[in-house]
Order: sequence, then structure tokens, then C-alpha cells
Amino acid sequence: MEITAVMKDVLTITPLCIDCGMCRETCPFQAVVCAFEKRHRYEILPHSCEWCGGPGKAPCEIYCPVRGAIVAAKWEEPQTPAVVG
Amino acid sequence: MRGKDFFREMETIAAPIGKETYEGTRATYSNLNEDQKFRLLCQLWWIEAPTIANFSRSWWNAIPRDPSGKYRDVEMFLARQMYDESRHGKLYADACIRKGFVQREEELWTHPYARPVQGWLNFAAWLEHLGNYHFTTLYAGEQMASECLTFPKFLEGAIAAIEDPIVRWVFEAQEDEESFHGMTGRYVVTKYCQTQLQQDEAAWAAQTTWKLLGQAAVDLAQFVKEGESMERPPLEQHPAFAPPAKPLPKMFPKTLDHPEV
Repeated sequence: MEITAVMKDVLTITPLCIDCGMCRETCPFQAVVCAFEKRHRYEILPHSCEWCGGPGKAPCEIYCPVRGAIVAAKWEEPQTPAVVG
Repeated sequence: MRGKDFFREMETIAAPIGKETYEGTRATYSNLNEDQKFRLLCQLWWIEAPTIANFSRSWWNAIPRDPSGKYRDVEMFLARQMYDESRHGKLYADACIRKGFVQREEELWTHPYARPVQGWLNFAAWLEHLGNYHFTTLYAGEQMASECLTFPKFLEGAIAAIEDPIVRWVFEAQEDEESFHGMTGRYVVTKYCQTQLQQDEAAWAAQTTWKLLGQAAVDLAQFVKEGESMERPPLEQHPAFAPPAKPLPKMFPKTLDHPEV
């Protein structure tokens, strides 16, 4: 059975982030969460990110105070193999 | 109108003010001598240093207590802003130490240069007063009118004008955080400032901020350029400044480990 990977457009947070939390509050899909690390910085869950129209249009990017802290990325979405009869 | 449209209207009104702020700042703060840099740092330190003690206690009153956590976002923004502003106070103080103007931050509390000029004092008093209103008015008057639409232009102008790397770095270092405070103003106005009554009061707060900020900028520039000749408010004769009549007794914290004295 051949499983083809699907590349999904997502947004991701770069190290320029100052951890202000604007993206978390403005995300309509609750895709921005605190990461499991000691500084509890924010990260975007790629499977929840819906892109929101792309860079420059997503609320998280519009409200982000640091230019370049949220950028577009590609994410390989894991596919569940179809069950064949 | 919607909060989003109200913000856009305010943005349009503020555009010429922002432009004027940038040009004025750039023209005023170029070619500063060492004493002028010290005066500028002291005045800016003064408005940041009492943030936690004064502005914070007033601003928290602006956010209603809601048992369902309705304003959790605003509370988090304000908490983070308080932290940022107090750190910015440290930035100014550390720049004074790096430049050799003072040896310790404590010296600034009683230094004549760190007494606010009249317009600057008026503006600070207004910021504290804003805490008596609903938080949409506070955020329109402070975070939106000042930190979103005006102050970034001041920072840009200062960064462009000031050549001294230590002094310039103070402005560069806080650019992102000030931008965040501005974004919180935009967010709160867009999300919560939805009724006519709220928008009327918010517009009044924004206009008052711009007016007071303009006066403050003029007084500040005059003080930085002319120094001692500028009239300053007299030192407050507060009991806190008076030395104690007799030496205070030594008080040790009573802990389990501490021996009895």
C-alpha cells in the first residue's frame, strides 16, 4: 500500500519570538500553545494551524509585534492508510 | 461602529502626529553632548521606574473582576507590560551606569536630572489617572494612542538620530516590547471597544494623550537641550526623603535558623 505524504502550509514561530503571547490570544483555532520546555515559550501545533489565508493575513502574524517571529513553513502531514476491503 | 473600524479611524487621525513625532525627535536628539544624553536618559528612566509601584496599582483597577475569566487575555497583557516597563527602567539606569553618569541606580532617585519636567509630569499623572476608567479607555489612551500610534515613531526617530551606541541600544532593545504593548492596545480596542459610549470615551482618552504627549515632548526637548535653565517642579518634601530622627533599631527577620539577638 502506497502512502503519499501531504505537505501542508502552516505557520511557525522562530527564535526571534519575545514570548508576548499575542499569537496565542488571537489564534481562532487554539493552535498556539506553550511548549513543553523550561522557558515555556510558545509553539504552533502544525496539525491545528489552518494557515488563515497565509502570511500577512493570519491574525497571529498581524498582531505579532516582532517582524520575522512568525513565518510560513511546510509541514508533512502524517496520513492514515485507507482501509481496503 | 465596530471596534476594528474605530481603530482604523484612530490610526488615520494619528498618522500626521506620528510623522511629526518622528521628524521632531530626529531633529531634536541628533548631536547630543554627554550631559544632554544624561538628561534624556534620566527623564525617560523617570517615567519607567515608577511603573510597577504607581501605574500598575491604578491600571489593575480598570479591569473588572470576572469569575468566568472573561478578561484573562487583558490581565495577561497587563502583567507582561508591567514587567517589560520595569525592565526598561533598568535599561535606562544601566545605560547611565555604563556611560559613567552614575555608579548605582539608587542615585537616580534623588538626582536633579531625574525630576520630571512639567509636561512629562502631566503626562505621567494622566497615565495613572487613566486607571480610573474602564480598561477600554485605558488601553485606547495609553497602549493604542501612545504605544501603538506615537511612541514607535519616537523610538524610530531616536534610533535614527542618536549616534552613541550605548544610548541608541537602549531604544533598540525595547522596540519589540513596545510594539507588543501597542499591539495589546490594538487588540483590546478591536475586541472590546464596541459600543458608542466606550468609543466616545476612548476617543477622548486618545485625544487627551496626544495633546499631553505633545506638550511633554516640547518640555522634554527643551530640558534636554537647555538643561538647568529649564524650570523644574520643586522637590517634594515627602517624609520618605527626610532622615530619621534617631537611628533605627536593627531588626532581624525571625526565622528558624536565625539566632536570637
